[in-house]
Amino acid sequence: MKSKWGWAVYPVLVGLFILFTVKSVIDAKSFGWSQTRERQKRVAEEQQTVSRLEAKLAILRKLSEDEMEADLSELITAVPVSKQLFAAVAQVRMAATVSGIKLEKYSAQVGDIREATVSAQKANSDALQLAVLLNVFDLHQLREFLEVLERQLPVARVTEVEFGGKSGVRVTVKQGYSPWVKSGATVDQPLPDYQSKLLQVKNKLELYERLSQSNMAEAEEIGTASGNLGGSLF
Amino acid sequence: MINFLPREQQKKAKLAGIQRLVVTSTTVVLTLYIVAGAGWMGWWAYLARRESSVSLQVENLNREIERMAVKEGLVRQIAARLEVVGTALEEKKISGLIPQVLDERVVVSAWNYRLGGVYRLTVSAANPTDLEDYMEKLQKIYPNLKAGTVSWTAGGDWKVDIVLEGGTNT
Repeated sequence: MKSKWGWAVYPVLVGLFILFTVKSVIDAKSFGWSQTRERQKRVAEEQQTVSRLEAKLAILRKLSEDEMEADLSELITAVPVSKQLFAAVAQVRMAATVSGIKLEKYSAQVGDIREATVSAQKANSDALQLAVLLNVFDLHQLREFLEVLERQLPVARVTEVEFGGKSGVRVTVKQGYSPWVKSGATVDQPLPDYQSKLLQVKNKLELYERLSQSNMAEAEEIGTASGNLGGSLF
Repeated sequence: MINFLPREQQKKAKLAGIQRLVVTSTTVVLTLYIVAGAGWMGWWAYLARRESSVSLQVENLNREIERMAVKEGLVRQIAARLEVVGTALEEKKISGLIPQVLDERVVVSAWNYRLGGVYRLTVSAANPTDLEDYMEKLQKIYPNLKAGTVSWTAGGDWKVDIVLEGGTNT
């Protein structure tokens, strides 16, 4: 026999089913509304990461390791990673020779000449200073000496000149250096855009002259025989 | 005699109508609910699959970039060194300062320069007018030019100590 309220079982069951499943969805840890929204956000973020990484990878693939090493080597020639004492002496000697000046005496305040440590940090960051005593005829000759000196690599900066003293011309040359940097960059960090600046700097560096190996060797020989390297400035 | 039959039938018919309406709306609601639920499940499954595929893609790209760590290291070193070299190259060259003080009419017997400070000159000339012209010329480059006492030396020259600071064209 058919029950009087038998027909009501169907909507009641449907209602219970809906209530139960909706509650389950709300309570579920990975199936819920907020979790799904979070997942959607995560996917969008990861897609952005993919785009960034793909762009970075495309740049890295295009770059030539050999070319970069050559560029870096050129930049290190301009500003070395550690104090280049004999390079500084060779520069001064070369400038003196070219301008026909007699180099009377030189002394260097060297300090710490260690290369950068493994962690790419340097304890002492003061520049190398070379004090030079020259026998100069006139200001024209001094100008030529300074021009030659300032045209050479590593980049040297003349910080002091005393022309007109009785004991000759005193010149203080400062050679800067910069140790390796520890980047600490993460994989998804974009690469710095350096190409245009590199081009500018390379163009400027073309106006400079590099010291030849023979100049360096000569400076090293003379440096060990004379001068006053390692002591304080006179 | 009262006829109850039509009223009973009416009641039954009304009840049957309500039953039909409830069953139909329940079916509609259930259908819509199932469709929405399936859509939700589909979206959830799509997101889950997408998430794992994107994560895998990120992992692979990271691995590939790590394989190019040497290149990346070079790029970062170059970029960092460019700053240093760029700054070093922009520094003032003092050889360019000397032509400013050179003049045929005068003799520069002393020129003291100190980076970041003032620089001093001792200049002499046979004619005081030449000395004056010379200082006027220098003043165009160094508006803060300061001249000391002009003295007349035993050799017949006029001599002056000049202090130069800053400079508009240095």
